[in-house]
Amino acid sequence: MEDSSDISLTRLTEAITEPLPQDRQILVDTLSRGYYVRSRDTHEPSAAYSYLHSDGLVSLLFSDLSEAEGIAKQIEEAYEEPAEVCRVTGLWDLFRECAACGYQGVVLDNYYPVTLFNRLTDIDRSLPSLMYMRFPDSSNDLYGFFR
Amino acid sequence: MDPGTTVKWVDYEKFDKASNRYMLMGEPLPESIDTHTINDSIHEYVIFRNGATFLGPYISDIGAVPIFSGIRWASYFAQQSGLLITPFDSGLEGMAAEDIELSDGFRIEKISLLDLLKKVQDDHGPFVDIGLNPLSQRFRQGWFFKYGDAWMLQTISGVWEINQNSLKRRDDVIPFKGHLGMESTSDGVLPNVSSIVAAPFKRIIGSDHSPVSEDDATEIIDGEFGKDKDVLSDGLHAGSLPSSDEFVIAAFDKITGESFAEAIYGDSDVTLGFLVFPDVLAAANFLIKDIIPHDQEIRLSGFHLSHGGGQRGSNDSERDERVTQGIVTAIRRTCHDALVHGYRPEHASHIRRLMHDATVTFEVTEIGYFGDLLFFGTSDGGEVWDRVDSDLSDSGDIVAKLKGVKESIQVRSRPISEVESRLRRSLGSAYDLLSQDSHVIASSLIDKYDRIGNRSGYDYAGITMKVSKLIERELNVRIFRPWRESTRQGIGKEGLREWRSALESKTLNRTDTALMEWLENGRKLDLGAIRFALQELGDIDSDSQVKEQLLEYIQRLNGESWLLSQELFDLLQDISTKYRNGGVHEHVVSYAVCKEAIERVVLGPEPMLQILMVSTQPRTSLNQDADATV
Repeated sequence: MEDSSDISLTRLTEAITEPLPQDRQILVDTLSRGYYVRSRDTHEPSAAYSYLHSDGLVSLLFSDLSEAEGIAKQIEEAYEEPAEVCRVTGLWDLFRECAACGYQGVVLDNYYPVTLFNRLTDIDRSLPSLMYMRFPDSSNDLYGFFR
Repeated sequence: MDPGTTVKWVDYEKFDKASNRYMLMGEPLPESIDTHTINDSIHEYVIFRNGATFLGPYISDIGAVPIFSGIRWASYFAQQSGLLITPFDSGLEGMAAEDIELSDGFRIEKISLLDLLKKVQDDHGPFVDIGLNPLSQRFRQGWFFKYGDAWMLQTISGVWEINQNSLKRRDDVIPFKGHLGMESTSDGVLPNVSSIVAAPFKRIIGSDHSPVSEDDATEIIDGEFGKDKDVLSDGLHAGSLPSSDEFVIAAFDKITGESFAEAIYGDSDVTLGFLVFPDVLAAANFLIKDIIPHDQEIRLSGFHLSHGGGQRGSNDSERDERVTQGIVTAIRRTCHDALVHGYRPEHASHIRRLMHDATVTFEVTEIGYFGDLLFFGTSDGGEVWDRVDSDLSDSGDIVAKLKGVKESIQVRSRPISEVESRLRRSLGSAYDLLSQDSHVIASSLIDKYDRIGNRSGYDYAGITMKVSKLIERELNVRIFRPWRESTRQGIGKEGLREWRSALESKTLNRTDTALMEWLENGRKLDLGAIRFALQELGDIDSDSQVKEQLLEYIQRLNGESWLLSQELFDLLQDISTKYRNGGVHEHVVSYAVCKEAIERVVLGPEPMLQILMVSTQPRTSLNQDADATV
């Protein structure tokens, strides 16, 4: 049986433009085992802007460690603040931390946007309770999904 | 998830702080303004319904003129509006405006910003808004408005005055209308704050304070919302001044801008602009029966404005039915929670947010029990009586009456004895010197600090700003107001005029000017101005009569040396920058910073508030003798 981690790494070397239902799980798995950059001092995830999120900033996630390390160096130079690369240990822990820092969502591999949502019936909307992930250049009907 | 049952998580206050911190870094915009607009072949500028998305529902009803800070943002707006023919890619960056092709005779044009602002103002006055970079990222957006003779730009970093070649921060300017994501500064929106209304459900359960069981709450809600009663005659009623235990809503139509109170009651029966209900359940019933079905119809079929423009409907009745069901369920859950766990002002805030996020017609500006609005203030940080039209012949009486009601609520809502005891232990004899208002502010911030505790991700800016307000207020009340009174009495208007002319003949000093304006017309001295004034007293320019007079006044106070010490300047610096400005503009204020602020200023050991109260007592002859001995 093929190892699912290999599938995700193989698939994400290219953008998924004709997503299949199983690609949703690949994206979530990749997010869950991704890398992000955070401030070494405050441990806040680092911020970046995204053209896919118009209301606020996002945090960047990478499936590839070396790419995350490259971004960490750029962030250190831009904000003059020591940065470090971390592995995602709990996806919703990270999302809620990003939300608490005032970020609108995250972007995986500079391509897949994740936006944070609530159910309309949630009474406490101070933090999000759902994520919505998109396949930006989807050429079929599977455009995005909630988790 | 079914379409229509979710809502995007948005917290503009936090978003803006993060964007301000990382993108703007205190500047108005990430880049300079290279002004462009979109014209058509007939008009010199065009009004778009989405021309000022920064304003959200506060946009003028016919739309706004969009202005762009660069070709890229103009092209993006054109693309989103279905006008762009030239492909939108990075190649646009190097292109001239005339090379970009738009459909329907539109074109992008480079213009002079001040000339365009003047032209829109000449043609439409304040009835058409002017937006900056609509539809682009929020940290690039803003809106322009006229303030006196000057033009202002409001972005997420604040209000900026537009000069020929620069933008200057103007923290003293308050725009005349709100914007999308305008932060609520009322304490009533904080989590877990209790309502001051003793019996919010008196119509249903009398003054019984025991918790309602889950089953009873469901039964009450089914009974209330299931009734086929006429909401307008049974629940909603007019009343120029509501009583403190009535529930009120101020709202306007997001499409026409019309106030619902005026539409329902008529102009003559509206003093404060509130819809008045006996309680939150009646208000919820009104929303469910009257507003939401109408809103569903508009979402489904769209609307057309008589003067042009409008919006297409979804034509998806199943989806809109689901949205309606979602809103109704959310309102029912909120009411259920209020019945079971006790009503809190955050229940009202939740309904407000729900209506903002999920409806296209109903924008709530104020909501809650009238007593809570009086006690905690309105969502824009003002007082309920600010809503009274000063042109009314009896406006003075109404304001006095409202102030009276607030005072009686404050007396009734004295902080719990434990908070009082802590404050007294910290301040010692200075506790009795606190004014009634400062007493309420100090007690409520301790109460809130205790109640919220150390909560991960919570923004404590609301509390630290209160700390700053407390010190600013006491410095004004105990030093600057009495100094102003004694100076005006001492030298009179003629003396002030002489000081003013002496000041005008000198090189401009901002502190002298601020103090002079305070003496002349009581223009507010904020904490920054106070800090500079005190600091500069140690190095007075021999020509500065204003500062000499202030120094003379301070020398008559008990703690002159502390009032002019580096210790106080450092404290004021931290309050202005770390506790106040950081909270307002840039950072989410952490628990650690809030704890530091509260301990340094209020709870001690040796809190600043205590030293301030004692130091600003008038010096007695005994003190003078003691000083002489030293």
